Amino acid sequence: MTFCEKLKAENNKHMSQQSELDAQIWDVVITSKKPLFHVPFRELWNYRDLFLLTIYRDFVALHKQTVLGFLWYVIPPVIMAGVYTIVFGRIAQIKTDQIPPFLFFMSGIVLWTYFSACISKTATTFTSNASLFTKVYFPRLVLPISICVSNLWQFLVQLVIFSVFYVFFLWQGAPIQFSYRIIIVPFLILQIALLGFGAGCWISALTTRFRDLQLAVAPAIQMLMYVSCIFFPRSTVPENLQWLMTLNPLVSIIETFRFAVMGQGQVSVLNWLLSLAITLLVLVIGVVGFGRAEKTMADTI
Amino acid sequence: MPDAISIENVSKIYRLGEINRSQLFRDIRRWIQRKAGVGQGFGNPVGEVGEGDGRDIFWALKDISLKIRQGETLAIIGANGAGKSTLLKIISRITAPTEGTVRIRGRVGSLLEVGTGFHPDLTGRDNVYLNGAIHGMRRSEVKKKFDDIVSFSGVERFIDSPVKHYSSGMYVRLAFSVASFLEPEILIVDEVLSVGDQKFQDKCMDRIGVLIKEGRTLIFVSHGAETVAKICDRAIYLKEGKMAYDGDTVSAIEEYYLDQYLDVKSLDKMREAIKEKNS
Repeated sequence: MTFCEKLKAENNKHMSQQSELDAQIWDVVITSKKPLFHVPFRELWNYRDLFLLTIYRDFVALHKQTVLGFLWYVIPPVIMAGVYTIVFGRIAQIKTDQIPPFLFFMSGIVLWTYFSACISKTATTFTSNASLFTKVYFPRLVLPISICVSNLWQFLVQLVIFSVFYVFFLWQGAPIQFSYRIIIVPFLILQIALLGFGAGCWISALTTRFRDLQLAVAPAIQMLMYVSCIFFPRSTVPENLQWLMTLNPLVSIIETFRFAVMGQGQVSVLNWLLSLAITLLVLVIGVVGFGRAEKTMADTI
Repeated sequence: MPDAISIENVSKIYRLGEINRSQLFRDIRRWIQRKAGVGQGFGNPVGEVGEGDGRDIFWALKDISLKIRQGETLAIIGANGAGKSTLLKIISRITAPTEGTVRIRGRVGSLLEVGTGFHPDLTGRDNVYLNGAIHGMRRSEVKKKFDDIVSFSGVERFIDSPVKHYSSGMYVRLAFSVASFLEPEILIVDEVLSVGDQKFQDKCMDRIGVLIKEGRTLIFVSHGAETVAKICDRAIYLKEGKMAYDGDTVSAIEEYYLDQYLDVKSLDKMREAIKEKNS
């Protein structure tokens, strides 16, 4: 051990003793240090009422002064699924792995809508709450988490509508099967939420310095939609482009969902595990970036 | 009395100029340098200090050390741009210091700008709960104080209407009421008292008086020497980010006025205010 290393070790030891001492006496210690991975779980728990009230606020604000209210959740996916059935099913004649085209497109749309709502709304956390964040402190993660949870309401309504069509097609004798595999669906939903949340946090952290990203998010999300197997099954993708499908974690989520619910199509456990790994990676990067940005965002935003 | 806040060698640096392409290149270069291990010291939390030729950075605060006892009422005075707001922002955890450490015991409530976080579509009632939660209160705590908050604000009749229909005065009164009933151990007040009509301002001052009597620590920023002298036992005078004076309120204000070539005559008014306070 060189002298320098020894000094470093001693210094670290001293610092950790100091911080232990601080924790006993003081409630809050503010320094310039940016911890690499720090999620203030206890603090988030203390602010759980803020979390619930924010969800309530989003809910009330969304439905205020609308006549059709939650019908706005129902109409777009049904109409879109109908349009896709005509455009991609009838005109472009894309094969949908024995799944009735309407159900194929609608399952993709519903899952995609939730993902895109999570990512695009969390991506503006810092910029759209700047006036609040520069006035009062609270654990900032409360907001993106509550966004992903309040979007869940819209998603669940759409999932119910999907089930109605699903039951109808089942009753009509379409080649789809209901099976125990459906128990995996909640995990897939959680994975979508975590992916959207992680990516959104990451983008919002970067936008505190470079606003360019804010402008890039909408077109990027749209492009992602085209490579996420919403309009076509993975089996129709040429061999030399399969790597793109593997890199995109959404492909596995959506394909696995269709397989779990309708029992058609091909999925591989390996691909799904890979997409899970990518999701977790995005989540960790997002949370780290978010934590670093929240300390200095007031100066750069 | 133990310390409520301990500020040690706190400095804050702002970078001047816009964030643009060269900023991106600088970020990337610095990141590469860091990865390559160039210029890396140890135990040095300074980070961004010492880069460039010093022309593109601005020291908003320089080496401020300060201890505030529990129950003390401290005023921060100084000209515009002296670093008063920056110091308050660091204490209330809105921005991190570039150097130094701040240690805090107890809950900090800041009245930096009231009414932030109010949602126009929610009713006054919902906004009271939401605003309380933003300031770290549990729902049950707000519930206990709800009647006091509403009656202090004087908007009882409109409490179940959306706040977008409120007059700006009503809005601010409700917001101040929430903030002043948060019951934090440490209360930060920054020029919020210039809101509302005279009657409500007097009411606010009374409320602050009550909070002080209850033994809460108060940090107060105001340009009104009278108000400062009436409320605070101690004042610090910040000048260009440095601590220029730390002592009793009257001497600090005198120092400030003389230093800034302000009209010393108005000091007499202040002395009267203090006499009034002591009598």
